[in-house]
Amino acid sequence: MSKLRRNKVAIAGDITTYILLLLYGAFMALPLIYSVIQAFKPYNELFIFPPRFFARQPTLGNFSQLFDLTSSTWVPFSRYVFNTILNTVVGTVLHIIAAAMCAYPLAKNNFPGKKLIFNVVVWSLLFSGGVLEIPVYLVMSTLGIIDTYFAYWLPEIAVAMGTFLLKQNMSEIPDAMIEAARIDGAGEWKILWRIAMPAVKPAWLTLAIFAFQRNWNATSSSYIYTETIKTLPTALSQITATGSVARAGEAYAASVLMLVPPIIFFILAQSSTVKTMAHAGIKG
Amino acid sequence: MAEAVNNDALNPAEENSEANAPKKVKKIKPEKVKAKKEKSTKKSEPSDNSKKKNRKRMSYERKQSFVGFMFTLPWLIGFLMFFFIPAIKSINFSLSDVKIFEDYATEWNNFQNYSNIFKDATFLRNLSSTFGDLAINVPIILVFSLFVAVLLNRKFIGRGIARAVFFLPVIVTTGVVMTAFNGASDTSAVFEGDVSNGIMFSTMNATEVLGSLGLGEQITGYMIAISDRIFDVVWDSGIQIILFLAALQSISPALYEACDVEGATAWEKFWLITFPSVSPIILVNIVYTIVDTFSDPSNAVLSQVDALVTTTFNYGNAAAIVWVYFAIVLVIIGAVFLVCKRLIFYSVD
Repeated sequence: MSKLRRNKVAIAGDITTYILLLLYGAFMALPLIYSVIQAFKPYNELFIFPPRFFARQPTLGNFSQLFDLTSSTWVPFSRYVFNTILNTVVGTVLHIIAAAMCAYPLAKNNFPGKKLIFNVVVWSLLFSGGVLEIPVYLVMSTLGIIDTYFAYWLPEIAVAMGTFLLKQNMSEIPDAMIEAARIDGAGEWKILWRIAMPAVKPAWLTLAIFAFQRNWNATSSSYIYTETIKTLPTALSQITATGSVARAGEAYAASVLMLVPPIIFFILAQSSTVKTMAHAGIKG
Repeated sequence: MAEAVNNDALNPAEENSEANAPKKVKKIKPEKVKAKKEKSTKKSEPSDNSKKKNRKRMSYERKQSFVGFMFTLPWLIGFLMFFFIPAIKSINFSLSDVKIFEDYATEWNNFQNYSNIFKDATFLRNLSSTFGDLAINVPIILVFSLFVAVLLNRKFIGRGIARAVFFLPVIVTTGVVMTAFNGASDTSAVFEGDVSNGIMFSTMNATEVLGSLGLGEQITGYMIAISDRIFDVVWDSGIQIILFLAALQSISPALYEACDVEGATAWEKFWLITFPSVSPIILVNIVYTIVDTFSDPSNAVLSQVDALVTTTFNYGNAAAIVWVYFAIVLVIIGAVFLVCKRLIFYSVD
């Protein structure tokens, strides 16, 4: 009897869970779904009042117009695509390498100043990068990297989030494992890439998600002037924003296209993320 | 006999007969004493042999620490270049008159920028509006994300998809979608990342629906303000949900089983087990939410800073505002830490 009651309670709980999640999930997913649907609406449906959620006559017109627009740009459109892909790959890889190299000794080596460096990492997490933009420009101009690809890449090295996350996760690797590798004669470099990094794979995959998304969406900020090294988001917002109402459909099409790669990347790496965050938070 | 041979094979340096073993022990003892006499300054060394080993280890450790330090260099150099030096420059700006011609020059102006800030009514108003948002958003985001995390931690079909949906905003908000949303609704807002601005359909639909229900204009207004707030909260809590979820998963099921045996209700289980177990993460989430809200470029203070820099080129004042703002944020975070330290329950560690 009591088992039956228990089952009933469990079923009621499940139904409540579903209802609540659907409700909240709607808030999360609707804007996305809406923007996808907007991308398939013909121009005359975009601005009807009252607005309709679904397209009555779905069309690929926005996409084909977007491609027409892109073929009319002064710099070949493929160049922007190339720039963004290059920046995403190089930026993500650089970020992870620098973060791993810094995190490993902080977690598993002893050297003077180790505590200080880790404190610096934690403190710099509190800052948002945007407020330092002008002084950063001055430093970059001293380095002579304004208006080069390095202006995209080098700041990736200094992102503190990666170092923090990897350090927290590497601390969980048993010391015995590292010691064993040292006794067997592996150098620190080899231990880092052959032992430590495979052990914290979920952590660096999470970092890769964030870095991919950050670099993929990077606009060419005030550090870049030459049109040929500007990025895809910049190009798309230039194309679609000039006379914004007229190009609304194309803007939605562009946004949907831009969303696809990060989401694919996220889905590929997603299963690892929850695990990583656990270590980051608890072992403060 | 065979065993004895084996033993000898293992220790070829030793003499064969078993009778020699006690002799050997005796032999070692005087040696030890001798070593102690010779190295009387170093008391801790028990024997010559282990001293050698120690010296070797010292240099090994030094090598280790050198390699370790070298490993941190790339990040450190990057940090110096793109964070530390700019921060110093920014402090310098905040303390001086910044004059811009082909190059720029700074001139010490006796905290003029800082005293200007506190005479500036716009800044104080923006500051209080940012704080107001913070005071409302932090508790709502915390409660909401904990609630959703508890739901997502239940076993049900389609859990993976549900989790992905709640994490998606983290990927989307910083992306080009928001730009496009805003670009489509408002040209001037192209470079802002404000979600509620962009989702015009929600507000429009809401106005429509509520209007057709025959509600007054004022009530409709409230409802829309609330729904906007919900959007803000839901879209800002992706990371917090993940953090809570991770904490929930690390709670030992044995605790809940013990509760079931004792006949505890779900309510008691939540407050006696779940809540204390996730309390360290509550602190993490509060700090994260505060930093996230404060560093959102669309908030009132940072918009003002942006305007100062891009329209009036008043770098000194802008820098001073940023540092005052940062100091206030630090004080708030410090206060949160002090309060939470007492309330947090640490299980192990």
